[in-house]
Amino acid sequence: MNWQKLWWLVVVILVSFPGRGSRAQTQSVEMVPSALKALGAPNNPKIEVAWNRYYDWAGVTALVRRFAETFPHLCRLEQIGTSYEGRPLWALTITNFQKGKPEDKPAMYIDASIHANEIQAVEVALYTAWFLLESYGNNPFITELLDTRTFYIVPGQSPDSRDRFMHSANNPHSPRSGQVPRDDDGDGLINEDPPDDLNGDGYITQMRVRAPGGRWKVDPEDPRRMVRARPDEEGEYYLFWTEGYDNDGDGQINEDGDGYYDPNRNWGWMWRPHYVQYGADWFPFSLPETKAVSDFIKSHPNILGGQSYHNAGGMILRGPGAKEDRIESEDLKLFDLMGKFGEQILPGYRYLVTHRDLYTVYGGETDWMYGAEGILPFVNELWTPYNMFRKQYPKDNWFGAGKDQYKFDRYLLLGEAFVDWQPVAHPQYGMVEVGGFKKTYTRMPPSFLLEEECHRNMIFTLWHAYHLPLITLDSVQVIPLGQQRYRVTLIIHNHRAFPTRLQVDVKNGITRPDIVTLQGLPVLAGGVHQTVFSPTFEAQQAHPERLKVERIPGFGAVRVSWIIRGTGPIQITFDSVKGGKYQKRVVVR
Amino acid sequence: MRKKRKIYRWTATALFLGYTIPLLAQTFRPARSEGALLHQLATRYPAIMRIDTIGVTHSGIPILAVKLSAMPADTLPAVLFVGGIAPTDITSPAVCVGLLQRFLARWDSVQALLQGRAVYFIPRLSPEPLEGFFERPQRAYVGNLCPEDEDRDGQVDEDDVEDLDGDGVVRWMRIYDVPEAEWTYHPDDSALAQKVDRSRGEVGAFQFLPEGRDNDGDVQINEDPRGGVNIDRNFTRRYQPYRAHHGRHPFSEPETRAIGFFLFQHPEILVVFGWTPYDNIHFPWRLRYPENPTKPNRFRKDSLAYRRLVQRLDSLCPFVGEETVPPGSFGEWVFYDAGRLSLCAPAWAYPAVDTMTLPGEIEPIEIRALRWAQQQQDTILFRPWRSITHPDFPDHRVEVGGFAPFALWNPPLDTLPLLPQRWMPVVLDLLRQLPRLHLSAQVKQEQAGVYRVDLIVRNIGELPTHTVVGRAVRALRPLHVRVHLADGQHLLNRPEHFVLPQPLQPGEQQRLSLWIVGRGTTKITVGSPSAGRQTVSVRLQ
Repeated sequence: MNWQKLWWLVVVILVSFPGRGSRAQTQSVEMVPSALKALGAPNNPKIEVAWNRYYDWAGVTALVRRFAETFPHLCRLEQIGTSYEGRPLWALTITNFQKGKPEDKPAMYIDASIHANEIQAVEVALYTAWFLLESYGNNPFITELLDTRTFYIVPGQSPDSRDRFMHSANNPHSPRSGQVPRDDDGDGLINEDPPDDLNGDGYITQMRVRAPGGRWKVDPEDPRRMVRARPDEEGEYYLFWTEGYDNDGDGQINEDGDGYYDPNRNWGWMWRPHYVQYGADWFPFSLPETKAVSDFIKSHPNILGGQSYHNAGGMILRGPGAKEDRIESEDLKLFDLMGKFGEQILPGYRYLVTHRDLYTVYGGETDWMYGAEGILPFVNELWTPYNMFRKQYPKDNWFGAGKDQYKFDRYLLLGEAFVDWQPVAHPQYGMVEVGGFKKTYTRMPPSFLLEEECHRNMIFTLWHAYHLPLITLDSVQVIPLGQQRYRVTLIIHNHRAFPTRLQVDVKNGITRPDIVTLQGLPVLAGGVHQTVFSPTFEAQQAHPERLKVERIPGFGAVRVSWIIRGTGPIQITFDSVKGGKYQKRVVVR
Repeated sequence: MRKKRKIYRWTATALFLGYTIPLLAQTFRPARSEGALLHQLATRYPAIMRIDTIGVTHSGIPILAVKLSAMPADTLPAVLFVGGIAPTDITSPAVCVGLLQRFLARWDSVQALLQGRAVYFIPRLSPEPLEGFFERPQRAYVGNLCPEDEDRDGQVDEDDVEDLDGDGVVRWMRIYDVPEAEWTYHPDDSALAQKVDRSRGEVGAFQFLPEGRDNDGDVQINEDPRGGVNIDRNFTRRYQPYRAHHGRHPFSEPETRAIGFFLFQHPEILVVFGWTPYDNIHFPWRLRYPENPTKPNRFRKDSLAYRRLVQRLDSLCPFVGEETVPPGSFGEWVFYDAGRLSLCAPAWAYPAVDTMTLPGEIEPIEIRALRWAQQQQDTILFRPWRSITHPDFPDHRVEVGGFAPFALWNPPLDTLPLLPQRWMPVVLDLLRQLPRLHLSAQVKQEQAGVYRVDLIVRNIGELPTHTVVGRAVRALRPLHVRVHLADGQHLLNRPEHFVLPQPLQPGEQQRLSLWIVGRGTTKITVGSPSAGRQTVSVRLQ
């Protein structure tokens, strides 16, 4: 191989790896040190990240790699799958690895942006990882959380379309799907008629055509805005929601762009076909991304708390997604506990029920988490229009009043969010005008509100994680019964609000019961007491050394007893799939 | 001359097939041996047969799909036959292989039928449980080999079945005088058992379990056997969660995913025939959506097509199955969620020999099988009960015997070779019924240089060009029309290509007027994967 070839090989390799340092935006800039710590944020962090802007998948990849490299004792990075176009899907495991295995602690699962255009969700997830890592050892609350809990963070579920959103022309609502090719209009061609950026400005905005019969007119208060003509007056314009032309000559405009399917209708819980649930796709987990993420969740049965970040509208959503489905009454109390707490710390956000207050969702991710995996999950719809003028809108007005959107842009963004109308030659309609809001407006917070959105939503999940079970093995009593026989009694105490298994789990046997094991001496009998005060217990018929306990209630306790023979050291292990694993050693004398 | 041509054609076909159609014995085969055989055939007949691996099971067994057509590289309207769906059905894979052999052996007579059509076979969709037939001891599996903790004790597959009496077959046990006894003798024959109704105060005589012992000392027997998920419960339609052997969620298994991807990647398949214990040919389904009968049935046209189909097949389908369809079944998924005309029936069933039943009432399968075994004096199929000493119940009377694991659902070996010829008419009939398009065009000059082309698209087949449900789930494609204009021609009243959203029913036609300016030859192509493609040329002058 000559030098020229070798040089090209090096260039190709460098270009092929979009990893660390491949983008200027992820490289740390020399920062002037902080002289005074602002409350609520890590001071002089090891990894400087600007939380007032957005990162593409190379940027996300660079950040998560740096998290794992900088904090190896707290953070591990793994690739859990590959997107349709070949991008890595990442998962971070964050816990204090020196204090127990991650799988032996109750876990909080966080993911983001299953809908690719719901951009800031990724930044909230990344901020959470960064904040936890930078705060460990500095903040006692965080330190205890990482000593006793595990966080699994999947920072983005749709990397292909995230990059499409950032690097191709799009509007705030596209692409919602991933990039798996689908023929939307049944003509045998795939994605052959997407929207087109007619004026080449990098945005898909709207088109207006001044022509007889149009029912739209220019808003007299803000000439950028189009409003419908009153019923008693003539209009001036036709308005088309998306910029584009008929690429494939079938007489329709933009009828087959990327996607159509909805990854958040593709999960294996109350899945319904496309004619019942739009976008369900072929069958549950038919998409590489939903398959990879669901496999990750299934292979981490210690997950008990769940959080999925979406946008928009300022909502803290709980299931069920369909009225035919249900939440068990005890679990509902936990949802309410967290949801009402969330309303306090997230101004403008409302705690809502998906099917009742939003719309019906079949085959949704978080409904699958709850129904199939026994996890208590929330969906936060990020960005509330409340943030524009600290004004609450009706709950179905997710983006705020149109007039206020224009005002917020004019006064606070100084007009940056709007592409002014400009004439463009359209191959089918002749001269049209193209203009409207940029893709970065109406669903995503502007720079100065992004960090607040990240922090407040993260705090919601930290308290969720805080309330996961925290078990102590208390009050071990050894009572001699004579003839080398002893009665060993133990109280298993849960110091947090969540039980070790949700009611939906216990009722349907999603996971096994918790197991308390006594090892070291022969066990003659054993059982669980009805209450912590009951002197008697119901003896377990087989394997008394391995007692099955249905669950440890939130802020509750369970008493178990064994009759053993002999003296010496014994080891008691409490092993709950979702509540964690704990051990205690005692010497029987 | 005619005779000469016939001889020539016969000779050419024989040469093409290499003169040798292998005389393969009709027998039950394990998956790997069947796979080797199919690969061997595909290698020998590459011009008409194609084989693909569409998935791999937990234990690494490939799931194979075979395509047979005169033009296997083309996308042609097709019928798919699926076997090995139920965990005890070892017959349908053998029937698939037998049918394939018959097609190859009689290629000359079926070649024309497969000129513009294709037939697919997936001989065993869920191969793993069928391997139990060939294991020693022979044993049944409840499903595939997906590890499942049935008793939720944190251990997986720790209490499997055993052959306690050493007869080489895992059968059944009757454990007498135990408190949990909930079975008693069947009133028709004490060799069989039936469950008592404890809510009515009935008392059981014995507990009835698969042969085995309590391996994990939890005072339960065989409560967590090896395996698995029954694939015929793992589909989406009416899926029931939390039930043993239904899977962790619908489509949790490699087998379900394999057929899911296969069907959605093959929009040319209009009809799917699944060999299943349930039967929607002799017990037709009511196909409708929404289910509320006061609302118009969106799938009414599909329902009519299906009804016509099952009326024809009623006398052709040789065996009658069960009426009840389980939740999460393959058959219902095929129609409601994969959008194809779905047909289901067992590959084989015991003849109803008991004349004691009421007219029209089907005997329970156990009775039919027992009568058969008694008539044939077959003690392998049904072994009379005999006492053993059970290690977990040394003080109790325990008997071992009853049916062999696959006995209820599969014929004796000597019956097997007769089955492909009984199924062949069904296969041929379905292929003949597939939709076919016929195009005709009339040209009228309206003005100087302005022409009206009246195109008539007609379905001359006996099935619709696609199903309404198939389009609703975006699995099938509507007819697509493309007008290829000559240089200088313009189409005035339509775009140059467009779809016809509604399916053409058998005998139905659609008339399209195309206004064209300019002289030249215009070609119009109409078609879809499930209906085939036709082209007509018109000369405008």
